[in-house]
Amino acid sequence: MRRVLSKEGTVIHDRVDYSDKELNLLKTILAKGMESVAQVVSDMIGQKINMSVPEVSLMSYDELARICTCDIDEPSIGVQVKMSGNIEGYVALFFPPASAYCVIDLLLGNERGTSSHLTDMGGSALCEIGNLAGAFFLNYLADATSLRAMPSPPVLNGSAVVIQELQSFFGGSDQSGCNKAFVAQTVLSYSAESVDTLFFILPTHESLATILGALKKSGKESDGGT
Amino acid sequence: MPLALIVDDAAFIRLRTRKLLEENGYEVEEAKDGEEAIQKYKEVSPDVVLLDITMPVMDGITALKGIKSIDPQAKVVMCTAVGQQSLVLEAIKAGANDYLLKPLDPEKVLASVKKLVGK
Repeated sequence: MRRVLSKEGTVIHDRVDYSDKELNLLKTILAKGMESVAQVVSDMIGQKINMSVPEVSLMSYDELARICTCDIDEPSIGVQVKMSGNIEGYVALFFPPASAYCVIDLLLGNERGTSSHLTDMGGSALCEIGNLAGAFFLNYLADATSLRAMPSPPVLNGSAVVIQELQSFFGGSDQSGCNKAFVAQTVLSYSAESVDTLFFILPTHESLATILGALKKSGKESDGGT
Repeated sequence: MPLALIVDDAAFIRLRTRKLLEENGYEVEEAKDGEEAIQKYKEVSPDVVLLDITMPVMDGITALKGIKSIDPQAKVVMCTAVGQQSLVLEAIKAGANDYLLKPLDPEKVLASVKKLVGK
């Protein structure tokens, strides 16, 4: 990340042009954090979960919204967890409705096909996946960097509302002047079912700088991760 | 019959844990946040409390301190997905008797509860 300084030396603007080395480092740490989440979700559901290779990119909110609709007509169901502390940002999961109902049936021990709409208990089960995702990502990050951050209680919403909240948060708090979010994304697939979940981690640009700083301080930058 | 108080904002987790404990001979009361947990503790004096950390209204660490101020002998098991070492130490320092990481392993939950209530 390049920083532009004022004459007095105060950082006034973070331009989001990461070096290849920094980008690789961030990609590695976020991908490993995502792997730890995939493992714990797999344990919870009792099904093997496959995770696509995580992609890290700068993404406009329009693009994010397009992806989160999962290219289907029916809005997907989103679970968001806010990270606060040394690391700020969001962890978000998006379930196409069919995937959501399948995951709910797995978690509640129902026969496949039982759920056809979102009940309070089903929503609570999806939220628990969001809770685990946020907590285990931050657990991993704490182990790797000694940075401490806490997840908020998970919130369930339609994908459009989640995207609006993300945009509002990043628009309001990010001092970088960048109108794009740094997004790590992957797809979690359940081996026994043809259902997918989109899993996103969206740290603020300031938090990315904090992570890079912590990795450099701990000497973990040299091997590209932990 | 020993009484357990389950404190978690997730109805799904309360349902699962209630079922596990009731099937193993415990009575169960529930609370959905830390504030409700303290109130419930005063009302029913449970033998053991299973306490989540990340909750709205009042988090689990604050609730733990509140319960311990009412009853320093309270038996409290933290049940949370947050496993950061600094937080575990904070909970133990505040008087937690045990710390279980989610997703909860039924055998570990029962072992911890049995150890604390002596059943």
